[in-house]
Amino acid sequence: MPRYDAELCAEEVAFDQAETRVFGVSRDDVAAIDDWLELIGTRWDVDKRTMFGARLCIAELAANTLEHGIAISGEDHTIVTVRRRSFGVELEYLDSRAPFDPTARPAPLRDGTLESADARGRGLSLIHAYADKLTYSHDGTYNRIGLIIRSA
Amino acid sequence: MQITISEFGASGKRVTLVGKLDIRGAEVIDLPLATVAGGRQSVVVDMTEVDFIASIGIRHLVLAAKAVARGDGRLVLLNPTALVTDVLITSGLEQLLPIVRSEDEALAALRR
Repeated sequence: MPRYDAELCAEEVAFDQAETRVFGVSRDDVAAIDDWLELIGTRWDVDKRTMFGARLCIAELAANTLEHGIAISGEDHTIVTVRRRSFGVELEYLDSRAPFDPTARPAPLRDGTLESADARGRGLSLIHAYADKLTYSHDGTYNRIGLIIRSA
Repeated sequence: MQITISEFGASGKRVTLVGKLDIRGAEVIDLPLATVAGGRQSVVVDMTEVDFIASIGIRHLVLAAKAVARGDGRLVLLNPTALVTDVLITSGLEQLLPIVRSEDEALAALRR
């Protein structure tokens, strides 16, 4: 293999780090997911802005599952996988609650005045703003949401 | 998340937040922030040491700002970090939750 290609491959291998963890569906679990992602970002030395976006997207998905997801069983859970890539961070978020597609872009909020401003409903908009790529499928058991957060 | 409440200027309150304004942080600030916001005084929320914010945290700030406005006061956010500022601006709230960068600017904003 030419030296240049070998160096590129070595770089991809160096970036090919991944971790997966299973969580429940509760307020403590939503907080625990963020604590875990923050720790990974520090350990992998991911730049703050990229990891902030990753944490924000997952925090919004997890809160959405907790607050709006229709429970299927008492065993509902989420599975979060985070991968470090040369272009940033790739995430997969799985939840076992009823099918819900977050890729549909939410209607813009009408916040003309403080009185009329809606205190809720900003989570999905933030996901769309911070994720460079957002995909959804349902595999019969899980909502599978893929996200890419690119480094600047 | 830690919350500390003190006086600000002649007739305002300063709410100093430290930590993550996530689902757990929002739970911590819920009652004390609502109590201050219902006190018919302007409020300066010192965000200098808030290192993360999610929509649930924004929700509490909007609810507090609404309560303060009902008492003819104003709520302003003092010196949020660049990352937190980006979230607030992305949420389209920079007009409704004014951001100030110094105490002098906060005092001026509350006098308006």
